[in-house]
Amino acid sequence: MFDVKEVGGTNVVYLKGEVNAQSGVELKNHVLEIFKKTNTVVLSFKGVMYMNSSGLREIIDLLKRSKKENKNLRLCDMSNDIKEMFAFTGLDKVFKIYSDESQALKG
Amino acid sequence: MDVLLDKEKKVLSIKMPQDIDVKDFKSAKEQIDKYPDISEVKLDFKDVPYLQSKLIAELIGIKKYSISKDIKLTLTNVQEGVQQILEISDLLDHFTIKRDFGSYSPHELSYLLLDPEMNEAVIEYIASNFNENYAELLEQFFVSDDPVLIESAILIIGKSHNYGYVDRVKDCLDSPYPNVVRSAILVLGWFGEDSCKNKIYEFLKDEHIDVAEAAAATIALLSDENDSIAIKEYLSSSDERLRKIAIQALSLINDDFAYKFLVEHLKVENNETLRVQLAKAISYFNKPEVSDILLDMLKEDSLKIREAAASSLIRIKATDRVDQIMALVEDKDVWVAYFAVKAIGALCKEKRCSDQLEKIYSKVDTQVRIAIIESLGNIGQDVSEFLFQLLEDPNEDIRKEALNSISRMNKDLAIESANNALKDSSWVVRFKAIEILEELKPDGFKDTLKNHVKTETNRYVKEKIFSIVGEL
Amino acid sequence: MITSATIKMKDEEFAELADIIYKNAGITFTINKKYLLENRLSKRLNELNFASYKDYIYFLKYDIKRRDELKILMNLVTINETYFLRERAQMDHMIKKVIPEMASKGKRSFKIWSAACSSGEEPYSIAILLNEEGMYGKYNIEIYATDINTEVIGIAERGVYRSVSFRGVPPSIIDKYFTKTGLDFTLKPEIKSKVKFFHANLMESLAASKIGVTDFIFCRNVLIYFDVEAKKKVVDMFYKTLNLGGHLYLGHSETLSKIDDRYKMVNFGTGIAYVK
Repeated sequence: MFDVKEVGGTNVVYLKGEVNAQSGVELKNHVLEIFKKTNTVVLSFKGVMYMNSSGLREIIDLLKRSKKENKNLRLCDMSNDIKEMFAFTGLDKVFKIYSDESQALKG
Repeated sequence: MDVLLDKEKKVLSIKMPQDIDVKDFKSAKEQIDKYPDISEVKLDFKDVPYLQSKLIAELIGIKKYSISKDIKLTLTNVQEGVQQILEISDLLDHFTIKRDFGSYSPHELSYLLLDPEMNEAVIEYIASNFNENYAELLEQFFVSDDPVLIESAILIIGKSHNYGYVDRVKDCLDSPYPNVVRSAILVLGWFGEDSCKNKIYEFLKDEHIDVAEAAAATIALLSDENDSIAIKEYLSSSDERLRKIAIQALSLINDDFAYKFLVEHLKVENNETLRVQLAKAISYFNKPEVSDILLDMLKEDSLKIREAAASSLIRIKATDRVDQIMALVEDKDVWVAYFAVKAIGALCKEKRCSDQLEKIYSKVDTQVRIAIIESLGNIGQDVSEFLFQLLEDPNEDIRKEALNSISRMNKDLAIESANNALKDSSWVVRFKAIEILEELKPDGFKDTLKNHVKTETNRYVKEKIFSIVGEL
Repeated sequence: MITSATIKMKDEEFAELADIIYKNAGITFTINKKYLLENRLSKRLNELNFASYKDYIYFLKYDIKRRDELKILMNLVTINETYFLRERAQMDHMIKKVIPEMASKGKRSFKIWSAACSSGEEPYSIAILLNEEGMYGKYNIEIYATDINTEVIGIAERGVYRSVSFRGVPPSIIDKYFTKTGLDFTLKPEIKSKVKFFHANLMESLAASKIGVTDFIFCRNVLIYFDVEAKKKVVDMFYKTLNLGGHLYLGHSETLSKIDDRYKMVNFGTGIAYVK
């Protein structure tokens, strides 16, 4: 469902295909696991083609929990359509969204 | 002079006094020496209205000093008066200037919130640095009766995930101000407050379209299996704005019902803008029929709809449809051809695609030519010979894109061409050449750029070089 | 306004757009104002179905409708969002201090120019405050208002506003001068008739000739977008347009230091005026 790679000491999680309730929960649990060892995770949306509201809700929940633990969650490489979904719900102003991976890594 | 050290980020912040003088720069340097581990120094000019000319030399001095110690120097909260002096002295491009709300009191921040250009950034700052002082400020906002301050308070609560205030936000659904209601609806969606959904449904009928939009978005975000059916009703509204919102909401809900309703609606919707929206929305469902629907839309008369269908086909990576898309690259509508060419670039890696694009190049309009050059770069087959001759084209954008695409297939040729392009008459080509040198980092490229900047006249190109070589 | 996602701009795209805007309007966007351009142009890109600013730049350069699009672009980047009674201290200074002083020396006619009036909140605020002080009965006062943006001039002439234009405005003022229907606040005709609107680009000397000599100029939160050369040019044009003793009011963060030393700076505690 997703790949994880360490880039210059930061974990980048590459989402793939469809973000829905099932893949969303898996993603959330996995990232929370990574957060036990590190402070920053970048989620790359480059490979995301579909996303529904249940998937989005899981990502919001992930953000909520990472904030509680004072962790940084950064999003990047979103297509305009995916970004449109975030904008529709106002969430583009809630998440830290960067244009590409290198920007997200810089923070 | 206040000095603050952020150990974790290795940033030293030094607040410059209002009556700034030579001695302040001297003590700033002493402070820098005290902390050998730091990676960035921020000089805060919030209180400095003006800089005497003799202090310009001091500022350059401290910049050079920080370069020599490999420390990044940032000037924060620079007032307009100081900025003008830097601009007149031709120094503006050499300094990184940023806003740092950390040096503002809560009261000053609430004043900045009223500035329309600042509002969003201030909300962001307070939300990420929330503490008791700001909690007090929120209380003042809620009783202020000022719609902008109340809206800001709600958004701060939402962004800082401050669930303690959720009842406050719910109360705001009854506010007389539409911007307040709108932000309350959105924040309740972020908070996952399912209990409010029935009440939020009423706002779909709100006369203010922003409020109705927020309501649809929040319902979609909180949706269960019944909501598609409830939203469907709005697809037949006589108000096209409501139909648009319904399409967006169904696309986000993304269940089988939603898909069925959108495909049905496509058969009856006559409004061009909404058909564009439908093309995007339908491409958002993971269903095998979607690419056929989009290919059908490519046959419609409206240019906008065809563009939307073409760009959606790229999005869903319809690699099995390359031939159908290839048929459009010589379309009579320039922009359909443009998008089709870009689609080929995104979907195909094969030689037959680059051959075909090369073949039609001479027959098409400038925009399409530009798209072809860009797509050749994306396809990745080595066509550098073809591109090389385009470096002499009279059109600057063709030269620029050719240079860029060469850099994606032939590094040696790209470096040579980029070095030559530094002499190009068009600054957009020189800008691109510098970007390529920055990316490929050939030996001694920084010296090349330092040499070039002496004769460069364009401010954007100069700015770009300074950002790479980081020197005065 | 329907929300759309912000599309990020690459440095290269920013430079080209900033160049196009500079050549057409004389407005300089420095790289630290990139977010402003992103905010203002993302919606237009979405409307046109473009995924990047590069596509949009080619549209501006090569499409047959490029002239129309250039106008749309200029209107989008010159929108200066504002609200009623913004930075009121300067208006109060003019009305309660400077006009009475000038009047005590026998002056009876006053001309005020709102030089970047946006959707009209500034000149109408001035008219409202003049009316509150009972000035219209005593003197002959003209207010001229100009903006580079043709779209906002249209809004100003209609005089219909939404609640966000009233941040910090006392309810008594709203009730007295506006008629509320649904969400719309319509300015009453007696104030609307006090302001004359024109389209004008401050970078063209023609702007001043539309106004003639004037006693007060309000030009707030606009010069920050101009580079020093453009600022000098505009401020010089203001100087020529002002009567001796006339006042120029700038935005709270703006200053004429190093721009024009002919004006005398007057600090009246809650704000600053520049006097010819």
